[in-house]
Amino acid sequence: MWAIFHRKFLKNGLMILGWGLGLALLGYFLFDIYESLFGMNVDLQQMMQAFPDEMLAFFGGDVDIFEPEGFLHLEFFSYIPVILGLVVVSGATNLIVKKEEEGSLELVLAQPVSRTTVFWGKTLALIMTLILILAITWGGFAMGLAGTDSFELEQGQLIRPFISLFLVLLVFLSLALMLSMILPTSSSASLVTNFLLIASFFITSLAQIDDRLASFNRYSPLHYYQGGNALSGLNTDYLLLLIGASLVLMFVAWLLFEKRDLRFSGTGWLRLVLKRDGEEPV
Amino acid sequence: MTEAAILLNKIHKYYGKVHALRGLNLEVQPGEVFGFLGPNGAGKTTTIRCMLDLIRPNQGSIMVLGIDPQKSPQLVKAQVGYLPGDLSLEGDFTPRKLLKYLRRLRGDKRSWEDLLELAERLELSMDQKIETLSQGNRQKVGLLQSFIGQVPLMMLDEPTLGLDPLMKQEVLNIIREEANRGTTIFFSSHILSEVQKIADRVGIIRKGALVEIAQTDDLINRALTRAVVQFAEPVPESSFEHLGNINILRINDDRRSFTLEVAGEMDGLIKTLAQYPVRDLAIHRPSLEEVFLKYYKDEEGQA
Repeated sequence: MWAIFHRKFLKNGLMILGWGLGLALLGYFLFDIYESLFGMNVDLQQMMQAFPDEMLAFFGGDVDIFEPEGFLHLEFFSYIPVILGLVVVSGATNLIVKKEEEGSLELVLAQPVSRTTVFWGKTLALIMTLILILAITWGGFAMGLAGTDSFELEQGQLIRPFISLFLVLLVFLSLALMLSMILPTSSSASLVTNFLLIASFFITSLAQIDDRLASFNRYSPLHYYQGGNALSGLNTDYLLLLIGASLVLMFVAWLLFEKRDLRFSGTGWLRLVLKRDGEEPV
Repeated sequence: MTEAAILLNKIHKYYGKVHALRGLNLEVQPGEVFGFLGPNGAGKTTTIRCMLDLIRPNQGSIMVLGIDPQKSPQLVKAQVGYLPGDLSLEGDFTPRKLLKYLRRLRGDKRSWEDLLELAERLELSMDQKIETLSQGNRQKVGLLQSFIGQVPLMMLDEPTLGLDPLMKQEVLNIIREEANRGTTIFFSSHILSEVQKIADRVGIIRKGALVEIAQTDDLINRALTRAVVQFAEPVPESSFEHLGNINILRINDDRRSFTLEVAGEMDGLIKTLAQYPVRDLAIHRPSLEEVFLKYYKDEEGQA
């Protein structure tokens, strides 16, 4: 498994650096921005009040932007699950099924390695990639925090929203992986999971101002994501739920990969259904 | 009795509604070079993929080197070198890095020096990114990786695809050398002249079922030989009537030139010809290609 993990992990090196350093820089400068906000406290409050509730809902609802939790949620943690979610979904659908479609997985699976080894080697490499991106990002935040007196936060507290973020992203990673095993192509799996990610974001955001969405919100993974609120404490129930959902989805994806035929160009089930009787196989 | 290297028993494989393999039976003996013939879409690649547990048959049983690939896929794959027909390589590798990676997965069986020697024979640059290589050079990488394992069985799906004639010859030489070391070679192809050159036996697959299996030479010998005879004087058509294995295809108006089709032994024909003044005799023995085409034409005719 190590060879598969190592290969996939090295391949993600630029992705780790690109996303990690980019988000770390953003995190670092957020603390400077926070300091400058104090100077325009009243103006900003008036401006915030002028925004419609529907719009504010997408940035955490009625958070207090002048509190560290509210500020970091509004400026980063409210939207970052969607951005990194898109990255993670793309990574997960490309992980195995895309390689099957391209044909390169055939060569790997023709070696004496099990499908289990390939599945978990690649999946763990993607999870490790995500962990490193978040760790580097957290590093930027930690450096920013160290350079300011305006935040009454400890470095340890700063890790909490990243834990919540990691687990909600893990759910979408697992969901994308599972859907890629069921749906006919990697691109269709990517499309459906991205749709569910965006839908989850809308439902959870708008549920704050519309009670009718509460019943749907229970099924939205982002409902169990705490964002900046996690700075004051993690909800263990939510964390366990996210971990449980991820494990179940990942386990189902693994079982499906174990049991089914390897896919080759032209053999996705949708294409087969569309083929006419008697048509020659590939 | 020696255990078969490959034993397929009534294999059926469906892709949705498409019946790709229809009760395929096949036995390949250890040390054989077996050519698996068929046009595109006949089921050659599907058969090989079933043997490696990349896909699973809906019915029937498979034994490779005495092991059931569905029960112990790793054991089978550890003893099989495989070249996929639809070869796809990750472009960001160089051949050197890809081979090293696959050797790690396989457990470093063949020495690196042996592989470098093979690469030299194939005139393959080991340090160029695969995405920049031509189709022929990618095929060489695919071939090289199939030799990593030093295994008792090799399954090569269209091994000379995309190679130039000189390199095709070199690849056939390498395959023959491997066979001489006792390795069983199972290779599929639709280039029949190559199969004829190196295969001990051939199987012909059509629409997912084996329509013929025979020693390569037997198959060719069994086929009809064509003879064109020029006589110095007109010869009556009835001269050949007593020969049961002769079919007259064409007679010139002056009855001096005959085109005949001979099934099996030539003895009767030669003795008959000896009774007349023969000016010229041309015997054309069919190639495997013609035999193969005949099978397909016959089958289509029957259909």
